[in-house]
Amino acid sequence: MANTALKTFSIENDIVELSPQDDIYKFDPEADRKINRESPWSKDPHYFKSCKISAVALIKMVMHARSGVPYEIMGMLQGKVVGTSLVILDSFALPVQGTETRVNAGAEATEYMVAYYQGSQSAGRPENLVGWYHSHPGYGCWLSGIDVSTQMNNQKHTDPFVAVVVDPNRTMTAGKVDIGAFRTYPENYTPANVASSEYQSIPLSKIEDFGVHANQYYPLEVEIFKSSLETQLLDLLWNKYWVNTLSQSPLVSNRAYAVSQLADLNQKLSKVQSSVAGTKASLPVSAKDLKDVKQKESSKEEKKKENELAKSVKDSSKIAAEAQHGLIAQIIKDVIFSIRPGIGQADTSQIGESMNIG
Amino acid sequence: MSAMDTDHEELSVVLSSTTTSGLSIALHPLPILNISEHFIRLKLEKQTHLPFTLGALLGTQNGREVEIVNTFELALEDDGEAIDHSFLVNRRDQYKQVFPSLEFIGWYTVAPIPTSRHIELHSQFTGYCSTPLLLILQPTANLIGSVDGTSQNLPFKAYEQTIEIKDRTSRSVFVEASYTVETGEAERIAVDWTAKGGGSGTSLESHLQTQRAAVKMLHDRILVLIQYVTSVIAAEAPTDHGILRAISALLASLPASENKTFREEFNTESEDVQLTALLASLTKSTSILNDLVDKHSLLTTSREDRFGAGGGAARRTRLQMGSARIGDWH
Repeated sequence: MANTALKTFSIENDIVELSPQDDIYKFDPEADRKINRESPWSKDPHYFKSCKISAVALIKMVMHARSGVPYEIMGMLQGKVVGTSLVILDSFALPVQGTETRVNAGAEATEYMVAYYQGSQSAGRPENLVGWYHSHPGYGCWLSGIDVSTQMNNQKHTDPFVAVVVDPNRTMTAGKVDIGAFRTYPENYTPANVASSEYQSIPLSKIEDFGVHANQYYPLEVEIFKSSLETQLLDLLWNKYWVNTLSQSPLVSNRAYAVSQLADLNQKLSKVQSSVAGTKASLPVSAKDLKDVKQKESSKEEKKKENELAKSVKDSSKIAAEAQHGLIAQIIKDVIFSIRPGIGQADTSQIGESMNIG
Repeated sequence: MSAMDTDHEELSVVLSSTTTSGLSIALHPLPILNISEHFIRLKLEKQTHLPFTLGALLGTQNGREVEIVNTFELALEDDGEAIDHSFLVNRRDQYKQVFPSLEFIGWYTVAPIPTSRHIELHSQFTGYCSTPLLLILQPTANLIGSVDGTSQNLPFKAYEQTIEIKDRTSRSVFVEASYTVETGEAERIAVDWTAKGGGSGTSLESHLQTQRAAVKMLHDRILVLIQYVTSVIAAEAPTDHGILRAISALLASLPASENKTFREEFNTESEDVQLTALLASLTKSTSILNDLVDKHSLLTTSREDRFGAGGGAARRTRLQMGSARIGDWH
């Protein structure tokens, strides 16, 4: 009774039910113009610290990337600047197909982009273009040489701009979305201290490209946000797609990718074989001996620089761990739905007890 | 959705719930999230309770099987009521360039139930697709009021247009169509990841947690079935033979796959995985051994450099001292 009364009251009085977490979706042209005038990012190359991506933008990017495998695909991002964070509210795909490390928008893609953007204005999506995304199917989230020069160009002319990279293959094997957001440093700017980023395994064919340009950009922290309604819908959706979760077979679906990973690791190991004889342990220095602070820092850097064999070890552990995850899924299904050898003809009550979860 | 007529203008445009459409619709999570986001944005912009939301559905249609994969918003003409057709055509073609397999298959809006206004709008879409679908998001059920525990349904309803012949007059009505939620693997991972808010602990932990959650759902559902069957046996609940037949069919299908070839394949696969793990740990031990050898040689050579060439015995004791001190260095 009270429920219907509340409903009628809300409808009659046009009460807008929104929670504060939805405020981020609001488009405020005034604030937008103001921050664009001030452009604090032009003074500080390290201005942006994080990148907030909305749930729909993320899912669209992943779907687009997935549909394009094995090609690289590319698209644009719409959003705004909030403090030191770039907020991405929507993404749309561009009809561009890349090969290897060459993805840049030609004339027709720019035409498409402009037409789409203008269309968006009339369809109620007035946010500015604040970035671009592209995919690296199978070789991780980083910026290649061409990406770096594209992004530097973008940041010179259409700042604020962010470069987002997504890897659909790694997403499938790891079971979580592999995504990264980057900002390049302007030319001739060397960052004060090179923070060593989290290690990721790069295939041999790309590793040179990765290494050469690794110091010209820095990663932003990626956060995902969603509206209150989306949170509710996601909870409800879980009621439906738990079936897909249980029925997935990552070992089968990722077979091609896993094979390519192993082949790549094999190549790396044969390379290592030749160089491993020449490895030296670095001499650790005790704190007393150091007078020069700089020396202390450089010795820390040396410790972090690992030899090739150690990197291959990390790669192999990653491959093995992912394969194990897949096997776990298979065994769970086997236990539930088939007669796993060993359990035998246990009577139903026993099985019922062993299934007493949670 | 029962016909609540009497008043001529208020004649329901939805056929009673006993008639359902013959379409089998698969709805992906992306359209669901897109529509809700569109709705929230319009709410914020227009500051009203129920803004007029309009958009197009993209997907594939094979005979009676429809799959709704993506959506895009539609622009309205200046008066905010009529559809901007040129925009629709442009957008549709743009999406065709990027996703050639998707087609325009219907439209969506936000409303508690379909009304005659929707029938009018619907007729405008027949130019683009022979049998467009209508998908509506029902806001009231969700935003106000609470979600009750276990199996709440999504606040979406799909409708197909049909002709109702009654008293020698025919009129267009909507008939409800049921849908299932389907996801591709990448979509499922992305949706799952955003549901958890992105970022997580160690990968093994999150993987096991997801599996456990899915198995728990299965367990809960099975308990519900067991409860029903026991209450039927105890003559407390009405016997529905349809449900009982379905349950016995389910039981008959277990074990899901059990024959020699399957077992062999399964074992081969698990052996491959275990082999990978073995190789990984071998590589790791090789690396550790390599490091040890390096450090060892470093100690022997550096001591020689510092103290000059010593006697064999002296070197050996120094070596022992050196190896005892390995623990301190790092």
